[in-house]
Amino acid sequence: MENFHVLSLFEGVSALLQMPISVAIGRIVLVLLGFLMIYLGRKGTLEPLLMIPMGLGMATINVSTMFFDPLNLHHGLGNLFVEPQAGATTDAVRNAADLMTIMQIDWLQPIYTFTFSNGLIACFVFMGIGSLLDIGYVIARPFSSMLIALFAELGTVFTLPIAEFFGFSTKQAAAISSVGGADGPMVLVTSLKLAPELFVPIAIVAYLYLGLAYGAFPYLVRALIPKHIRSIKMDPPKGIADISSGKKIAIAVVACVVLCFLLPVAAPLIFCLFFGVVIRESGIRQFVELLQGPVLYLSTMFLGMTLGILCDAGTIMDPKVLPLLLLGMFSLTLSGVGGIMGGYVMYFITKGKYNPVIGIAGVSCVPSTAKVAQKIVSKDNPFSMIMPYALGANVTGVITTAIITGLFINLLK
Amino acid sequence: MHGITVSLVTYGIAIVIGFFIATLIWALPKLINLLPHGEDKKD
Repeated sequence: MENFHVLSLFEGVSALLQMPISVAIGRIVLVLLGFLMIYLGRKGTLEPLLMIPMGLGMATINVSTMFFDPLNLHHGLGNLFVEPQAGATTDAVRNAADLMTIMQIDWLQPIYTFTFSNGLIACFVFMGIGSLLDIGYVIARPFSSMLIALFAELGTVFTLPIAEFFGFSTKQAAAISSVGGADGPMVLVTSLKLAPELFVPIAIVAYLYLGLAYGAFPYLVRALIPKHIRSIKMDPPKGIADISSGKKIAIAVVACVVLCFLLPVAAPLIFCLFFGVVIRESGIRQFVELLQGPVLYLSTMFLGMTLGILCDAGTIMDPKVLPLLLLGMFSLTLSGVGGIMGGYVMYFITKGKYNPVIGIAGVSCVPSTAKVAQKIVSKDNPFSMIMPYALGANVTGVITTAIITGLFINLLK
Repeated sequence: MHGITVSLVTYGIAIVIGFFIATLIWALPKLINLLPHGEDKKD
């Protein structure tokens, strides 16, 4: 008892005091950021489904550091949640032993290893999203939806050379620029295939910005589209109710087969999305309820929570992450601007009858950006119903992101 | 391949595939209607 120190009772506190001061301050800032994310998620400013579990995870992981490092990866400090570096060495025997050890210690490790790092959770999220999608909105206006969705990929495509200019390899740059597609599962797959060494920070940046896009895109739209144009009244497109479920299934099946045939590398995600659509339109109530409820929400909850837990100061304060944060923001903003440009193109083609706010929904964060578009327009003109058009662009955005993901991976693998 | 080349090639191919898919989505319902009993019941 001679050397007893009261701080040794509270390992989190003593670990915080023993780490470099910059890291300790970084951890405290991340805890506060986690609180802010929970507050903004609860308030509805940011996407609550992701931000609340992610914020709590981020706040918790940055105070849960202890003197524990069984794999000797972090200078004696670690936690009991997850070890994303386990199994990442070039020594296969050590990798297997590391994973076996860590699987029995860290409670989130099985979730990370078996669902996160292999993209399975992304597939589950896509199945759930597919079961929520009504592709009737795309069938009603396929060309205008596609035009907007392609414009909304500007960030995905043109951040690549800029990231390369900042010193990233072409593969890393492609993985970073995929953030502009605003499609979390696609970003996970692209970074896993092209830049596994940046998988964790890119995944964090992608989902952080998807939440932020929910809050920031309205400002972008208001800055680029004047009020009298935002107020353009649109009536719901005609004929959507006449599209039978049989036709929707036929189109989903053909689109799925054609896209998987052209881009097998993105086939798991494409299949999962259209599987959800087909199940929805088949009317198999039990499966629809399973996908729309437990599958979607359980995966989203664990996705948000695991991402939050991965927001450890050691990862976030890596010097490589700052350019990732900036490039991710640039990519998403450029995609938003591109979507609005697409909206303006439609506005001019239709001689002022098309509300260009719909363009922001081409950024394929389903269905958040469509909801954002309707919310903005409803404030300026409560009688304008753009949601069906926005959902069409939104769903098509998922397809264009899948196409670009597949092309990036095929061109650069 | 340089980044800018990858970007341009990707965007060009994406535009072609995108409008091909849009054409499929536009044409399929019409083809289904041409089939015998293709005009299926409204749900």
